[in-house]
This record gives sequence, C-alpha cells and structure tokens, in this order.
Amino acid sequence: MAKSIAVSVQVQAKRFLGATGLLFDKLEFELAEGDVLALIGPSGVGKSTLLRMIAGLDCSYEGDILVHGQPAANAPTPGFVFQDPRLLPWLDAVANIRAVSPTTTDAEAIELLAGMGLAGYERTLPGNLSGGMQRRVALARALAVGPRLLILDEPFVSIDRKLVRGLQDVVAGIIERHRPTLILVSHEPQDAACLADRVIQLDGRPAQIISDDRIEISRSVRNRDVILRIADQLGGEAEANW
Amino acid sequence: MTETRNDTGCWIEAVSLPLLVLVWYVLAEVVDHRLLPTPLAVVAEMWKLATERDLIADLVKTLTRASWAFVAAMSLGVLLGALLGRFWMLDRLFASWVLIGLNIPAIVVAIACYIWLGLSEFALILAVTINKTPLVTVTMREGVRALDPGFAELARAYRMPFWRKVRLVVVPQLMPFALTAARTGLSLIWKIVLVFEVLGSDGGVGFRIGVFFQNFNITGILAYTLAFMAVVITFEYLVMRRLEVRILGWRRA
Repeated sequence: MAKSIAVSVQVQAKRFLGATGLLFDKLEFELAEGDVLALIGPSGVGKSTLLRMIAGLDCSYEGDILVHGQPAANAPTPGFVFQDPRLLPWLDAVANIRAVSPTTTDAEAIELLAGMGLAGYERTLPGNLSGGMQRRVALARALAVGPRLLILDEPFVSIDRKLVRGLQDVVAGIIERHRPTLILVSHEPQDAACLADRVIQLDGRPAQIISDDRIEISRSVRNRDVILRIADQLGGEAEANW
Repeated sequence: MTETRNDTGCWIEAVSLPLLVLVWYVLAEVVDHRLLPTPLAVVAEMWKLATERDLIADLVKTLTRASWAFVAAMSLGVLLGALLGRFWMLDRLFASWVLIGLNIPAIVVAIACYIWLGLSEFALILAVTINKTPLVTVTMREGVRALDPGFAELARAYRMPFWRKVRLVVVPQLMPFALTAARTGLSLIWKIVLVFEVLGSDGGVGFRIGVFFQNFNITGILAYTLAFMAVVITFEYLVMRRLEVRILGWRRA
C-alpha cells in the first residue's frame, strides 16, 4: 500500500532576504509518511532556510509547501530541533519541555528525559548541562509535542564527534519507537548514512536537487563499515561538487 | 575559587557599613559637634523624634508617595519601553520626547506641576512619576531590543499562544532590565520625593528636613536622613536582593 504524502514541496522561487537573486528556483519533492530524509549540501545552499519554510517559519516564497495536506504555517506543530539547542535558560529541563507542550505532564516529561539518558537531570537548568545533554533535552522537547513531522537542523554540529555517535543512537531510537516523518539537515554524509533512508543533495545557485537517493539498507544492520561505505558514496559525490 | 571570592565579598560588604559609621564618628570628633554631631547623638535624636514627634508619620507619608510614584513610573515606563522597543516608527517619533524627558530638570517639572495642579499630593506624585518614567522607558526599550530572535523563532516553531510566549519567553528576558530600572528608579525616586516635599508639601521627610534647615538643626536633619536611609537599606536587602536572587538565579547556572 502506498504511503500517504507527509510533506510536499513545490517551490517556484525563493529570493534572498533583502538581496537580489534566487535561493531556490523550482524546487520540488515529496516526502512520504514515516520517511527519514537527509538534506545535505554545502554551507549557504539553503538547507536551513528550506527547513524553516517547511516548519512554517518562513512564508516568503512563491509556490506551495504542504505538510500533511495543510499549508506549512497552519500544519500541526512539528518537532523542531534547531542548530543550537535553544533551551530557555531560566527553565529547568522539565519546564523547557512543558513550555512548548503544556499538555505534557511532569511525569511524561521526566519519562521523555529518561528515554534520552537524562534521568536525574530533570530539574537541572540548561546552563548546568553539557552541550550534548542540552541537545538531548531539545530532542525530548521536540518529541513532547507528539510530532508527525520531526525536523532536525544540524543536530550534531559543533559537538565532539565522539558524542555524535551517542546522539545518533538516540535519534535512531526515536525513529524506531515513534516512527515520525523526519527531515535532517547535515553537513556530514555519515549522519545521513547513519540515519536516513533517503538523501537529497542540494547544490548550486539557485539551489537545485542534484541527487535524490534511497538507502535500501535497513538502519538496524548499518554498522560502522556500512555507514562509512554509504557516507563515502554520498561524500564522494558531494566532494566532487562542493 | 569563586566560592572563596563570594565568601570574602560578603565579609567585606558586612564591614562596609560599620566602616562608614567609624569614619563619621572620627570626623565628628574632629569638627565642631554643632556642624556634625556624632552617630550616637543622631541616633538619640532619631529615637526622640520617633517616640515624641512625627518621624514615623513623616516616613510613612514619604514612603507612600514614593511607592505610588514608583508603581506609576514602572507601569508607564514598561509599557512605553515595550512599545518603543517593538515599533521602530514609534521609537523615532518619540525619540526627542524621551530625550527631553531624560534631561529636563526635575525641579522644573515639580514647579510646573505645583503651578498647574496646586500644592497637592497628586501634583507631587505626578511630578515624581514624570521625572522617573523616561529612565524606565529607555531601560525597557533596550530590553525589548535585546530580545533574542532565536527564542521568538522557537515560540513560533512550536506555535506557542501569545500570552504563553509573553509569560515564558519574553518576560524572563526582560526581567534583568526591569530590575535595573526598578533599582535605579528607586534610588532616583527616594531623592526627588524629598526635594519635592521641601518645595511644597504638608509633611514627609523632605518637608521636615526643610523645617530643620530653617532652624539650622543639623542633628534633626541627620536623624531624619538616617531613619530614611535605614528604610532604604532594609528595602534593598530584604526585598530587592531577594527578588534578584529569585528572579535572576538562573543566570548563575
């Protein structure tokens, strides 16, 4: 049975803010319910802008972006993890979760945090958490809204690569447990290789989709060698274009 | 290291006030007692004025006026500051009003209010409010300008309702500015209320100091000043600092 469409991007034109020239010109793709898409491409190509458009945060474009059949700005609340964890520093971990999801109880927030390996840090202020822990709180916060669409904007950027693997496991666990439609932006082909089952590469100005590939290998059997092999394939092509 | 520094800082601060009293005592011993009475003489006079005369009533009167002016100036200043910080056209339109408000001599405002409205309680409180509001406005305007757009984007991404966003995202960011405005506001209001009371009122600390001045009664002046300062310092330590720890404690994290 064909999966229903979760995200439909039909952007005719997106201009730079306050500048001439186009960021996107006829950017079109669809994402099926439950798909895990990695958007990769060089810095400044517009990956984060595209995420903001899909999240309904940027509506200044020509065309349509539909999320679960509704215009992006009116679509159900997505779970959004920004490049920086963007936790409210005056609220503890539980309160940060409840800030965006008032229907979530304290107990549910605590359970979400425990799922991220943050048991015992429920009442800790963000300033007292490490960068990796803050990102896990941000992930828990994104999950608290019960999102059908989860958007991760470079969630592994500027943290120690040793910690990245642990966070990737957390995200992989989320995918297996919650099965959201997920869009991930990353610079690193291995992030895509580890988590995605579809990879779209953007490049050029205006940005074009230069490749749209499916990764057929199941996530559960992607060990280090497999991930590196897939990343090599993605990165090799990317390097040639970057 | 930081803890040691904090502990030492507390001790140094605890010594600060006794040191001031000591300096006062030494100076009083050096100069003529009629010009500068000793701390003990002033405390004795303060006790006498409090038990036998109107010191307590005057203090209550002045503090009531200061409180009304403070509440009015903070409310108005926060509202205006938020509007000017949020809407640049309003900011430009009222830029010179704010500049004039900040720099107009307080005494001019007081005299004008007394002439227009008579020597009334309302005129005094209004004059203090007019003097203080521009400072609160400017401080809060800067606070609104400094709001983190990233948090606003977070609120939009998670579709936070307006008032929830205001309560959980905007107000906490403005609190440091509001506290600064409150603190500078209080120190300014304490001072100008007294000046305006000297100028025209039927009681209060300023009024009484004016009377003592006419009689060259320096002990009475210092007794009232000391009582007033005791209230200010008590307020600072019991209210402002506790409020600061409670509201801005997260900044230490």
